[in-house]
Amino acid sequence: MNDYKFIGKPVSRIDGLEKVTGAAIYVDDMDFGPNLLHAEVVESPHANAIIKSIDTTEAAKLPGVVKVVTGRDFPLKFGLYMKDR
Amino acid sequence: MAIAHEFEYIKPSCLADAIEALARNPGKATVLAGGTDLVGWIKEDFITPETVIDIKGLSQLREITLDGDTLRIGALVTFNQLIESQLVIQRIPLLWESATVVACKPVRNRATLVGNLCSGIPCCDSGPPLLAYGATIVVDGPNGTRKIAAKDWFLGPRRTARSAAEIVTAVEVPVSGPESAGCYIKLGRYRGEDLAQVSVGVLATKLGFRVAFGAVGSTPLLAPKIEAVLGVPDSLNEAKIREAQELVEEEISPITDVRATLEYRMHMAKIMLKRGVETAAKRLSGRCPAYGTRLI
Amino acid sequence: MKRSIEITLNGEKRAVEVEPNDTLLEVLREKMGAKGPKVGCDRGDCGTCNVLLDGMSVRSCLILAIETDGSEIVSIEGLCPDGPGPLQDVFVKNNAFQCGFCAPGITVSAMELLNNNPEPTREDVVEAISGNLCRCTGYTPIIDSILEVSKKEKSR
Repeated sequence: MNDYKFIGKPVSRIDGLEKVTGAAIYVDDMDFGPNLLHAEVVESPHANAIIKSIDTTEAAKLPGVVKVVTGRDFPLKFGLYMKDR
Repeated sequence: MAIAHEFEYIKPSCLADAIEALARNPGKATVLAGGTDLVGWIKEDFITPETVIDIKGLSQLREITLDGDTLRIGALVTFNQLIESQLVIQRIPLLWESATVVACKPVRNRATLVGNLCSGIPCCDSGPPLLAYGATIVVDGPNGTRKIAAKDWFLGPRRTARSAAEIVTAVEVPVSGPESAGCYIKLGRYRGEDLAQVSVGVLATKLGFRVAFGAVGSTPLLAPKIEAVLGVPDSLNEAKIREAQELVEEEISPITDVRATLEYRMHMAKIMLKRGVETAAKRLSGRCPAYGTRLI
Repeated sequence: MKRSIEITLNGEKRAVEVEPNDTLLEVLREKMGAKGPKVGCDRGDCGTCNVLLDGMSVRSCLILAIETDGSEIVSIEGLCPDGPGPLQDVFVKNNAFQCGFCAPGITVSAMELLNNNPEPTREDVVEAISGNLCRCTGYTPIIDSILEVSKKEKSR
């Protein structure tokens, strides 16, 4: 006899119903209001290189730009790839 | 903002107003029917009209009618309408078969045969069947109506014989003459979405074959050398088909693009030609496979 | 130039102001509160924007909102206004969707199919959803579910 609540029994996806009725909310569906900022990542055009300098002055002057951030703005580093391998 | 480009939108209630609106803004206005090509082009800034003229109010353009020897398809007839039309299934099954492989249902519910023709893209699915049928495109403009044979319609990639001040109002397909059967085969990377990598439309009557290719030249094109070699369906044999296949390299000029390489297209065109010709001949003598069967 | 149009959305007549270059998808999501249709490819290839326009499935990303003045639109939210229908229940039971992003678009396509053809073959179902891209499931549980519902409806 199966006394288990879940083992051996079909279990419906917890948000299955929301997904098939259009009620599930994805990030693009969320409304953060008119003050939401949008960020664009500028990637290195080089596969293997050393950053000598990044000049952000012209970018910061563009209309609508609130702030330009680079790695220098983040003194604490964390993550998987901390060393250049 | 899905569409950055700004434009005016008008929806005329009669053809004369539509023509006048187009003539008033030569080269700066564009006609909108289904929009499945047009809206995408505006999004990409591929075209930047100042005025969009929605012709969906011209209800007389929504009809498929048989007028004696001519089957007339109005400019607003969608691919879905073509598929559901008994006239089309029975009288012009080659066009019917091509309609069934255009994109997917939601696109076919809106996209029009005429819009597809007006796009002028070399891989348009309307091209090969209408070339094979010897159809005529009816165009209205400030100088009146004129009729353009399908073989004179396609001038180059995205270029058709329609001038900027003209609106296509119908396509006419002749349905007199001996009984015909056809086969349209479309090769795509995946089902339900893709434009043709290669397409072939074959029409067979007891008098011979019409063969047209799509997506393998700067326009959809007829293949008269192949037609001549094939002869009549009654005397069709393996040798003639092989000879026709050898002529493919003389008839078509595929390119390499995002969808396929030149070599692949050339290779597949020969295979599809054989299948198309054999199937059209079989259907002419009443045998299977049913229209709509996938042959590639 | 902004214009006021009237759309019947999910059974309710609504007036909304639109610019000519507003797509139907944008207007549904941003101005009419219908977040069910999604912005996937925004170019008519993926099917996440599918809605029913006067009963027929369409790509709302390829339609200007202004074209739909006076029309009836049903989005995923309005397909089963009285609560989840048999199709949705079977989708959930069979775990037909994973991330669920394709679900609104596929459900619209499936409902159109079942409305027009209550006894589809497997081939009919595959054709009906051939314009919907799903990255998670491999489509099989979705197709099985649609067939299961059509058989259930038949045996009623």
